[in-house]
Amino acid sequence: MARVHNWQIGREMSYWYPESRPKRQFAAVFDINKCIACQTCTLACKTTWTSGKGQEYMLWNNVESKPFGFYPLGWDLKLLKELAPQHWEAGAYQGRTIFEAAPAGNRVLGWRPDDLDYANPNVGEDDCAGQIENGASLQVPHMVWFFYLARICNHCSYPACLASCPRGAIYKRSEDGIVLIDQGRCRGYQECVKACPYKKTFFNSLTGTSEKCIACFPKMEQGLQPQCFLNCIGKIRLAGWISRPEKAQPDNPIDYLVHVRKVALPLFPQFGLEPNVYYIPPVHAPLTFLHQMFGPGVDQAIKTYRAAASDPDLAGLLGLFGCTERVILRWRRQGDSVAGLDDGRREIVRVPMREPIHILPAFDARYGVVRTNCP
Amino acid sequence: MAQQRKRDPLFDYEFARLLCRARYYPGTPRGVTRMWFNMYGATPGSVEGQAKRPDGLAKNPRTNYQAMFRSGSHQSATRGWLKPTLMTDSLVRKNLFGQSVGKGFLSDVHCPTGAPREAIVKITRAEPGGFEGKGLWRPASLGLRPRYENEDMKKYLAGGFLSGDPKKRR
Amino acid sequence: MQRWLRTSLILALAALLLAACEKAPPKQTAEVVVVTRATLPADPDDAAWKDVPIHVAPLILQDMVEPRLLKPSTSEVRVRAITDGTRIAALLTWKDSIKDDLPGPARFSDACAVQFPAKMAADLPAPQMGEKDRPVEITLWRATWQAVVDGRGDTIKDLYPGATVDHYPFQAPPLEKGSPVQREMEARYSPARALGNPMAGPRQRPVEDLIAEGPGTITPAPTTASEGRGRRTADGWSVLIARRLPDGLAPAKRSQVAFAVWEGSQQEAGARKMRTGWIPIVIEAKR
Repeated sequence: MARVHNWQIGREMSYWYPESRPKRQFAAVFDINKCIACQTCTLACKTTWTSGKGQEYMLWNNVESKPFGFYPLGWDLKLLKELAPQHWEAGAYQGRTIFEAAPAGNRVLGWRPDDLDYANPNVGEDDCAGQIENGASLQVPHMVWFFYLARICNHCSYPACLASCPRGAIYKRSEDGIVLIDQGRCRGYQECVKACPYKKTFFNSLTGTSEKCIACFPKMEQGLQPQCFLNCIGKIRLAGWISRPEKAQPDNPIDYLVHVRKVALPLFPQFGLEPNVYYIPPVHAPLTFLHQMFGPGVDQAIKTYRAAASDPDLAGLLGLFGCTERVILRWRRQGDSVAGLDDGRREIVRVPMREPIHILPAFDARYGVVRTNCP
Repeated sequence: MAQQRKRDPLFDYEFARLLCRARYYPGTPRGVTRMWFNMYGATPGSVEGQAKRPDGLAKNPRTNYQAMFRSGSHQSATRGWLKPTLMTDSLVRKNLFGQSVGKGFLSDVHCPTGAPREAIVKITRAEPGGFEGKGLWRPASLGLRPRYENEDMKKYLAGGFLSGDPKKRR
Repeated sequence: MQRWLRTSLILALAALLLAACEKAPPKQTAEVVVVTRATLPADPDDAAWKDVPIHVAPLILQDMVEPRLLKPSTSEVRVRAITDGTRIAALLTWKDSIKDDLPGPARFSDACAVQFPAKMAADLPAPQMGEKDRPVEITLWRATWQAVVDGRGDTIKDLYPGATVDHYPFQAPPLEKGSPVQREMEARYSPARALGNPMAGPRQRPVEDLIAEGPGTITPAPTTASEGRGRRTADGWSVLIARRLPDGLAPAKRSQVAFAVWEGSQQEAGARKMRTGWIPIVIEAKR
């Protein structure tokens, strides 16, 4: 075990390999407040990558309702229980990570899902915490609540899958930080399936190897966002590159949301993997549940996000999500519009901050008739 | 001359009557239930499949079409697309556009309509769930479902795996 | 004593001695003693194994490198070996009450392996998978592979009879089955197979030849020349592994051999295994 620095938990921690950061790190921001669980992302990935034999049950991308949804069953609950209690203080995580809590004989604390645990990928969909009674009304936070959590592999800075593989068949690319399982080298020991806290490696019974989300690396290599990002109806996703906190560039969209405005947070940072998919937390869910899932930065993130209407820079950048297939490397707001730029500071896309509004009066004076909006 | 196949008057009823799984749902108040659209309704062929196959799968033996219902669908109680309006040329009705009243054929009044459609239904318990009518659904038996939560699930819902003062976490 | 009585007594005694000989188990040996025969048996149930001496090898945990096995499972493996002068066949039998030959999430195959040093020398490579520049040759048998060779199909329905799949894009009717375009598309959805990873099949044998130079380095050999066959017994497995005679093993020359056994239901795979250290192996002197 080596000692490495994990900025998300604000301290050093143990990891199987020494610290080795890639030249660029693939990262994403998902705005939970916009997700409608249409599952278009799930199908985009399934059509592109997992329509092969042995891949039938795999959902490299999945969308589960929280709190009663899981894929596989109980994936986060089981690990939270094994790792409990988890203690945060002054923004730093004081408890153990899954590396530090590794049981004797193992490199990582983990558990093995059964095949039946994958059999109900849509369990808990739209099931709310609490019971709606007659007379219920809408307020924020909601009196009964649920939200949708879209998940892909987090291409962690300290992947548990990579650490756990006894034969080094999993590697993290130095050019983009994307984590891949070498399909030529894997022998199907399923240590990675046991180790990944997010359960985003999947064993293929027919090839005898395990497979995982590849961040559509052939697209990222060409500066194009992955399939699940491109096809997202709700435009909740943005792919890009994240810098380390001390090197954050405010005109880098991911850096701005994660490091500068701190409105996007990692998933279960206490597990210790430094995951690189960051979530804007749902404004309507209780903070106690959200602290457990995204860490103590939730309160501030929600506050910032809810004030976006009077925050033109933040609102503008959020408006760039889903506007182009290309990866936006830099961005800037200019008055009433926001532009996404490539590295050469050339515009890829420009969107207005507000939709133009045209008002038609109810009475059309020219023709002397009342305008009606039916049928 | 080919013998006309005698049509069982209840044939349609057998394959079109909705049979579906009902479960507790916390998002509607007591006395209210809900079902969503589901593409894969039952067909006579799928009903034949679930009756004949040893595994009971509602799969048409000839076309491989697989239904999500043993019989019926969410459309079982909806009216046909044709309105019950008498198609008379003397019917007095409001025009489609504007506020005037007219008489006779009008597409909006006389033509098929997709939605909305309403019906009054009676819901009866057909049989217990589970394989051979026994047992809880696995996620429920594992304590992960609403109203079946085990201690860990309750803790999870409350964010209870974090310790310490929430105000001091920042 | 009357002659007829004496003859009867002698005959009775001879019968008793003969009966005792027939019921006597094969000789147990401190080393693996390889007997020489004209041909190698091809099946674990072949009668040729009956009078071959048995070496009972106690198994120990692999607890040297993570992931380690902490709870011992299979306690011993019984080994018999026959050579025809060119190749050697080893018969491994061990107790395993639960048959594990179905692949799946959290499911692991019963398996066994035979390991020889690639080069016999006074200074042997470490028995735990060899060392850098001092490789070991391993022949691995897996129950899941045996099931496929014995006829289990290569589709999801063979693993989950109730499964139903509506469509694989590479089976869409416009694609002519077996055409280059169709095969290329099928390969794209199976990168392990496209890369020639032997784990992915298609499979003709239930065994695989591998080379290792230390823990975590095991790699399939360029080709698998070994053969094998495993059969379920009343309380376990009986597996035959046949390969060419390893370096240094010849009449009047000894080598060393090691074995490993995996019990699938104990989540044993890869480094989580029961194993032996080096055991001397010798070809029985010609009579």
